[in-house]
Amino acid sequence: MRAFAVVALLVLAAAVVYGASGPSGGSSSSSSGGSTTTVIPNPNINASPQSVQPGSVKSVYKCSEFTSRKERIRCRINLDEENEYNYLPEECRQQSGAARGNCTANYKKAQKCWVFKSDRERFDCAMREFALGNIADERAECEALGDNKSACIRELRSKADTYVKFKFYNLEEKAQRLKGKGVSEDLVVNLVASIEEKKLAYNSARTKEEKKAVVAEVRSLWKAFVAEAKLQLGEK
Amino acid sequence: MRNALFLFVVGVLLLIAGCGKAQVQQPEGQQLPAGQGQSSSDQAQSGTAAQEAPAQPEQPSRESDSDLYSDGMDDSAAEIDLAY
Repeated sequence: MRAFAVVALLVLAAAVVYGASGPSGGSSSSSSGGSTTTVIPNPNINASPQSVQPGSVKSVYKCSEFTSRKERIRCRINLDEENEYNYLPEECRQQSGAARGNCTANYKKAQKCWVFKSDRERFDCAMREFALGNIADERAECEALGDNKSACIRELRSKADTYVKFKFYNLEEKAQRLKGKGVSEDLVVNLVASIEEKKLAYNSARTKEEKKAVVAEVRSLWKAFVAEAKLQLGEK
Repeated sequence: MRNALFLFVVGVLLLIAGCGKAQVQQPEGQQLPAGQGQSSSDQAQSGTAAQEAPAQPEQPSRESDSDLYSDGMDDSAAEIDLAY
């Protein structure tokens, strides 16, 4: 009988102790003032391109282990869509410091526009993301500043250039969609590599005529690509 | 004998109560997704709100093949002219 009483007391004690301590899970917890706060691991595992320090590119960005541009592009177009965010854009690879940060930030903004399925919608999205309004109106506003217009015009040109290069980028994305329809990977890789070269040429262009010439070259590249793509797809 | 039985019954009841508390307790600081964590009575009280369809994200229009093959850059030269 005594043994039975001892067992009963032990069960009672265990119940009291268990009830006071509460459950414990896999995540770390801390208690304060009777409330429990659970620390949840940060689910955002995507590295921010802007946080990259020189010399650490290979460890952060996808496809950076390849030394040639074409190899990196081939690697990139085979990435899952979500991993494309961890790819250092070829154009930004040529830059350093604040310029690279600004470049990657613009690419990050552009990612939001790929959900749209038409050019017009994507271009409108890009204008919103780059804070670019009607270019003629913005130019007029800059001119109205008189002697202080220089900075305004410089910023407008920067945004307009980013927007024009977004249209180049749009062709790369379209080429990837055509790859999904059966266009060969080689054809897509060659186009994307050529357009990336044109982006650098556009950045190096000193006059508006030079910039317009680069645009014309990109349009020619696209025209040739589409002709070959249609042949591969058996379309007219 | 009666004392022992009494203590045993109390112990078992406390054990059951402890287990129940452990299952019900939710750590604070975690936010459940909308619509979760409501009791059935909460859901009943929310009435029409619970029956309303959740807001749908904007549905992008379908891209036609002509759009897919177009370069979309007819305006680019003019845009450069305006900015420069």
